[in-house]
Amino acid sequence: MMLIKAGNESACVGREPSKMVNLKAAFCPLMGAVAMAAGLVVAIPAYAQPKGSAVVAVPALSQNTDPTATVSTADYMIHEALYDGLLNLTEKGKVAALAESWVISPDGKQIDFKLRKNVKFHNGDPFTAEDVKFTFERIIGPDSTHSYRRGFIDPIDRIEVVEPHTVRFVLKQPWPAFFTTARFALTHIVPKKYYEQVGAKAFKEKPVGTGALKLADMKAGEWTKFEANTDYWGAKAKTQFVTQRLVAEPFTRYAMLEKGEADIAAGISGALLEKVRSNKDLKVILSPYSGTSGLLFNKTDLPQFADKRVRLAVAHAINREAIAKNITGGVCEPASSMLTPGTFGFLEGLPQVSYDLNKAKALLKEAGVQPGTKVPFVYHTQSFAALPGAPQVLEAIAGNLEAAGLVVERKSFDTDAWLSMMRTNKAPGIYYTPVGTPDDAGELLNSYFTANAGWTTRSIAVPEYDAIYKQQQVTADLEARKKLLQKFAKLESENFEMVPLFWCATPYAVNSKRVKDWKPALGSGNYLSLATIELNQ
Amino acid sequence: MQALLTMLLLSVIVFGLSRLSGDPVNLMAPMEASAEDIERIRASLGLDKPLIVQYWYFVTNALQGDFGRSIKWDRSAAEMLIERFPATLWLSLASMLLGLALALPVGIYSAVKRDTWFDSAGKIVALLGQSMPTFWFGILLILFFSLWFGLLPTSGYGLDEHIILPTVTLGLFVAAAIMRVTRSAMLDALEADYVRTARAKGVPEWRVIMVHALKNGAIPILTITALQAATILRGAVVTETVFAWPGVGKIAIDAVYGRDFPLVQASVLFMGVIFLVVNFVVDMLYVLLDPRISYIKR
Repeated sequence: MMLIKAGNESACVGREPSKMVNLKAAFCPLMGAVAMAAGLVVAIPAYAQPKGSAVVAVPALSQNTDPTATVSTADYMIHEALYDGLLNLTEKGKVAALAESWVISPDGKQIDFKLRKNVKFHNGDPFTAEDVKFTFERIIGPDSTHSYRRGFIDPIDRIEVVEPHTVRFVLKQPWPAFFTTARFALTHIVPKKYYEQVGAKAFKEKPVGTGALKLADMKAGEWTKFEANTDYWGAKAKTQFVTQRLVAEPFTRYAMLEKGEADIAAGISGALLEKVRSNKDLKVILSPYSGTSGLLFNKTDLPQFADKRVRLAVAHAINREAIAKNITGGVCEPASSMLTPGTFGFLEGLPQVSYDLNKAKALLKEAGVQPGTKVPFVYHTQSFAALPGAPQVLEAIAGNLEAAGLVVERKSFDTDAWLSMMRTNKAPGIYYTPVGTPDDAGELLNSYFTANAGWTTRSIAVPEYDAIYKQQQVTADLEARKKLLQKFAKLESENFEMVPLFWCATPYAVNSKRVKDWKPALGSGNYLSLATIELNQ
Repeated sequence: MQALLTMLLLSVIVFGLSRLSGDPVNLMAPMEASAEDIERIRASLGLDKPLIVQYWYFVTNALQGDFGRSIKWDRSAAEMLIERFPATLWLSLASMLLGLALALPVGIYSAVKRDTWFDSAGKIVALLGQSMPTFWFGILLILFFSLWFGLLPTSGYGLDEHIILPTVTLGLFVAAAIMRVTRSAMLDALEADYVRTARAKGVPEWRVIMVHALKNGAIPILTITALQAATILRGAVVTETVFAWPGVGKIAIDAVYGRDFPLVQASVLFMGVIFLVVNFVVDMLYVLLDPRISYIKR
C-alpha cells in the first residue's frame, strides 16, 4: 500500500515500488498547493475578523441545501459554500479537504481515508468518520433521491468506520474516477447526528455543514444569505455576509454591478460583457474550461453522415474563430477536442480543424452529398452555461453550413423540449450537445461516447470506445488510465463522431472598486468559492 | 355563480396548458437517469396518474386551500404567493394611482383643447406609452435614472425608493390607455345636449367639464381603468422580473420556465381571483355612477 499525505513533499519524491498504485503523478501538484495554502495560514499571525457584505447577482438560484438529495449540478452553487467534501474544488483544482490523506489498496478495491481532526460542524458537533459513512450511505441507500446516485451505487460495496477519523470504502471494483470527477470527490458531507435528529425536511431548511460559510437566511426564489464561519478549519471567509440574489434580467444584473449594488454578476454575456470590459471600474473574471460543446449527427435521419468525410466537412465549414470572438465575446475558444486542457485524459497537440469552405465543399462532393441537400438543424432558444449565447452561436453555425451548400431546416426547442427530445433519442439531423464540468474523460466517455450514452442520444456506436470505457473504469493506476483515455482522445480526433465546437469559460463580471480579491474554482461554473470574496474596506 | 364558473374554467385551462407545455421531470432528472428513475420522480410528484385524476386532486385540494408544493422550491405554493402578494399589491396600486393621476388631467384637458398642440402632444405620448414594451421601458429607466443620473436604485425591494422605477414603468403604460379613452369619452360628453344646456344656463366652464361632462363620461373611463388592472397584473410579470421585485408575477414566470406546475396553477388562479374581485368592484361602481344601471331585478 502507498500513502499519499497532504503537504508531505517526500510522498512525491520518494521511491516508487513497482505494482503500486501510482497516484502521486496526478496528485503531487495538488498536494503542493495544499502545503502552500497551509503555510500561508501559518504565516498570518492574527486572523482578521470578516468584514462587509457582498452581493452576487445570479440568473438562476438553487436553494436545495441537502447534498444527499442533489437534484442537479446547479445545487453545488449552494452546497460548495456550506459544506466540505473529502476533496474541495478551488481555483487550483481539487485539493484535499476533509480527507487529509488516503491509502488505496493494490487491487484498487479499498480506499482508506484519514480524516482531518478538530473539524466542527456549524452547530458545534465534531466531524468524524460516521458522518462520511452516513452521507455516502444516504446517497446509495434505497430511499435516495440523489440524481447521480447510479455513479456511486455501481462501485461502492460498503463503507466502514475504522477509527473515529478513518473511513474505509470497500469497493466492488476499482474507482479511479472518484478522484478525478467533481461529483464524486467533492461529495459534501452532512452531520449524521443532527441530520437524524431533525430529519430530512428540517435539515433542508436549517442545513448544517463544515463549510467556510454558514446559512444566515434565505427567501425561497429570491435570495440566499451566508455568514462567515469563524470556526472554519481552513482559510476563513474574509467577508462577513455573502448574498446570492436571483435577478433574472441580465441588464438589471449589469446595472446592479455598475451601480455597486452587486459586487459580482454571473450570467453576463454578449454586448453586456463588452460594456463590462469597457468600464474601468468593472472587470471580467473567467472560470476557465467549465464547459464544452459539440455537434452530433442523427445517422438514421441522415445516412450520409455515417461517412466520416461528411462529418469532417461540417467541421471545416464552421468558422469557430469568428464565432468565439464575435458572438461569445472571447468567453469561448475553438476546441480541438471534446476534452479540454482541464480534463483528466486530455491529449495535448491535437490539431484544430481549419475553417476551409472549399475543403468542406470538396469533401461533401467526394462523399456524394449534393449541394442543396436538406439537413434538419436543432436550435436551442435558451443557453446552457456550457455554451453562452447558444441561439446566436447556432444561427451562425447554420449560416456556415448554408455557405457550404447545405440547406438548413431550423428546428427550435427550449430546454425542456430539448431534454425530452434527447431523452427519447428523437433529435433530428444535426444537433448540439453541451458538456458541463468536463473534468474527467472517463465520465465524458460514459455520458457521451458509449453506445448507451444519453447525452448523445445513443447516436455513437464505436465498439472501441465502449471497450476503452470499460477498461479505464477498473484501471486503478492513474497514469495507465490517463493513457487509455488519451488513446480515446486520439481515436476520436480521427473519427469525428462528434464535431468539437468550443471550450467555454464561465464569465463573471466583477466590480473591481468594491471587490479586492475573489477566486472562483477551476473548471465549474457552479463552484463560485463565495468564501474567497474579499471586499475593499 | 358566474365567478365560480369562471374560476373553474380558468382552473381547467391553466391545468391543461401547463401540462401541454412539458414536464418538470425532464428538467429535474439528470441525463443519465434511466426510464425507471424518471418514472419514480414522476410518481413522487403524482404526475404518473391519469390527467383527470390529477385534476380532481388539484381541485379538491385547492378548495381546501391546498395548492400543492412548489416543485422547485419545495414550499407550499399558497404560502409563497401570500408572502409575495403585498409586494404586487403595493406595486399595482401605486402604478394605478400614478396612471390615473397622469391620464385623467391630460385626457380631460386634451378633450377640452381638442386639436391644439397639447392634444397632439398627448396623442403622441399615449401612442408611445402604448407601443413601448414595458420590458424595454423598464431597462431604459434603469439606464437613465440609476446609471446615468445615479438617483435611484436599479432594482430590489425594501426601501421606499425601490418602488419608483417599477411604478413609473407600469404607471405610464396604463396611463396611455386611460388617457386615450378619457379623451374620447370627454369629447363625446362635451358635445352632448346636456352640456350645451348647462353652458346656456351659465354654469361655469370648469363645472361643465368636471361635473356635467366627466360624470357622464366616467363609465367608459372606469371600464378601461378596470381593464388596465388586468394589464397591470400582466405587466407586473415582466416589470417584477426586470426590477427583481419579489411579487407574484416574478415567481409566476420563474415557475412557468421551470414547469413548476403547482406554483403556476396557484399563481394563475390567484391572479384570476384578483381580477374577478376588481371586476366586481367596478360593477358596483357602475351603479353608483349611473343610477340607470341596476343588478337587482325589480
